[in-house]
Amino acid sequence: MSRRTLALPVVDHADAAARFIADEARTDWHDGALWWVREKRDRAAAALPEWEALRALASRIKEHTLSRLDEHLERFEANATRNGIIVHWARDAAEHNRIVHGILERHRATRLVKSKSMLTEECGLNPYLEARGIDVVDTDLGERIVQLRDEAPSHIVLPAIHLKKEDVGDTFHAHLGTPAGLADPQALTEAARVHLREKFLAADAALTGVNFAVAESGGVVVCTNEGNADLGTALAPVHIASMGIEKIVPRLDDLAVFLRLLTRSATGQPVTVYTSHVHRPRAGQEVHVVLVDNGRTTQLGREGFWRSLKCIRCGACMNTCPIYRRSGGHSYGSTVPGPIGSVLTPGLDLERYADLPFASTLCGSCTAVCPVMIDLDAQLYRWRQIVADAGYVPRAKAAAMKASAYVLAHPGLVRALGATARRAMRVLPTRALRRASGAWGIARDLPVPPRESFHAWYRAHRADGRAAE
Amino acid sequence: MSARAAILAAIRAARPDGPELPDVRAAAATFGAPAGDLVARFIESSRAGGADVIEGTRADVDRLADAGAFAIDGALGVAENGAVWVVPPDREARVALFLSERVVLALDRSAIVADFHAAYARLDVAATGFGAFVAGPSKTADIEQSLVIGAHGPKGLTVVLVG
Repeated sequence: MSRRTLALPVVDHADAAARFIADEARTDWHDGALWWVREKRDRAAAALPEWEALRALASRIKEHTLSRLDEHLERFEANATRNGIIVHWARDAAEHNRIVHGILERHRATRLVKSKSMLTEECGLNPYLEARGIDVVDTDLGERIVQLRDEAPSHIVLPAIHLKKEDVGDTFHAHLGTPAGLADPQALTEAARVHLREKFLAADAALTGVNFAVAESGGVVVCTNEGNADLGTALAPVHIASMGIEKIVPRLDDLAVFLRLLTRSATGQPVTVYTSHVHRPRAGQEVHVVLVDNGRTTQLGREGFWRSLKCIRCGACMNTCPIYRRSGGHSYGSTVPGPIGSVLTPGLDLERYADLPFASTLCGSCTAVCPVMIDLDAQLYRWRQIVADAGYVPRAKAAAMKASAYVLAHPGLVRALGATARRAMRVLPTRALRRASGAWGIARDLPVPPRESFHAWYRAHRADGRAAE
Repeated sequence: MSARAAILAAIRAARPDGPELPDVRAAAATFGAPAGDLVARFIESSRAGGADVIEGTRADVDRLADAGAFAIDGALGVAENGAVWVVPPDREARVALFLSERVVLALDRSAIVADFHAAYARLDVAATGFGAFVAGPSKTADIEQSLVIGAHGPKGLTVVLVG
């Protein structure tokens, strides 16, 4: 069934964000929490004099890889297969899910533990498997919390960043039997540890994401702080690794560049606690890698946008984005939110996600922090033009843009309207002016209107040759 | 057409022009080395990640193992981040590395390198089945950004620098 017949809702970021910011205190808290993560990233980056050189290297390695993606994928497949890893290819989300389910069925596996994989979120794997009788447990603590709450993760690295400890306490009280009102993070984490140990020990299969797949050696790299990916794969007889095709890097030496950038960008740590390299299944174990396209080859062919495939999913762009910090991941209605989400997702369904490139002030902070130097703000701007050409800009906004363009093209009109505006600002009561200025005036003080326009001042001073004051 | 053929064909039709692969080793050689000797920097990085570090002997390793920690040798240490490369020899060791409450890593002082560039140049990762850089006890900050040591993996990690 095509997605159009399902009539999936068009995302209205401003509308969703308005609901988020209705709770001003919580918005300030969310904003502060993410900015704090940004500051940790800044300290880590500043400690490496070669930081910019690493970014340039990473960007170049990724651009090269994408320009020869087929060759590197074939090499990875050949080397991984030679190592005893079983490699699968999936054109889209549905095919990925069928492949994963097929592997589980062949092993009569009904209990799956999963470590973090945004790709599997993108593919809707959990509901697919659950509908077929598989018990799926997300083992990353943040992901387990949102799974118990039946919510989507709101950040690709910090899935539960939108929740306060009291929220987690309530969820654990309902699902894990912790005492009502217990909100101490240490105690809650201990409760989750005990609860998830049972799941690890009982699992028939473990699924992980892939941070990097290395073409020259045919192995995959998984980075975690919690050890959940490794607990799963150390115990279970089947390890399935799901990866987007853009996660390939050519050489083991390239890993050094990316690993030095990844965690510093994501959380400000120099490295994750565990950086695990899987090259061969151990005796009696099967290791599967599922290579997934799901729109990536289409993005690869988009001249202004293919560089977004360099993304290593660090989340730094989200942590710095003033819009993300003050609207939260759920306002984007996409698997990956924030600046990178807004350049990856419109390509999947332009009508549905037309609003996302506009959820930005184009401040460019995202571009400044991106470890692989994706030109995020430029791509956001390019998408806006495509959205406008396709006719998906809301009618009121399109009309306002047309009117503004007309006015600005006629200097006489600009001067006349400017004079009217200055008079109005002097004469009308503040309340009326705020209402007239729309969303702008809700949380801002209005400027003091100048006595005259710059044009008038310049004419007056130029005429008698006096120097500008 | 198989998915494999379809995807590869789609890539060949779509792929942009791109630069040559950079010489990462040559670039890394131009990065300045931070001050302080390698062992001192490793100890600082390791402790910053929540690990205990002891400069000692095999006897210290045995003592901790007798007290209940899982002991395993590390092959190489990385000064910039306190990571230790561990290749568990069998399934039991791999499970114990992550399931134990406490882990002790024995690492030769002379096996410490400056950074990940040096580490990957020295190691033969392609020859391993499973190998991991371990940089401290497991941790999480998923609940309101409060750091908790001991998430799902070990709650304590000790590195004993021997030799």
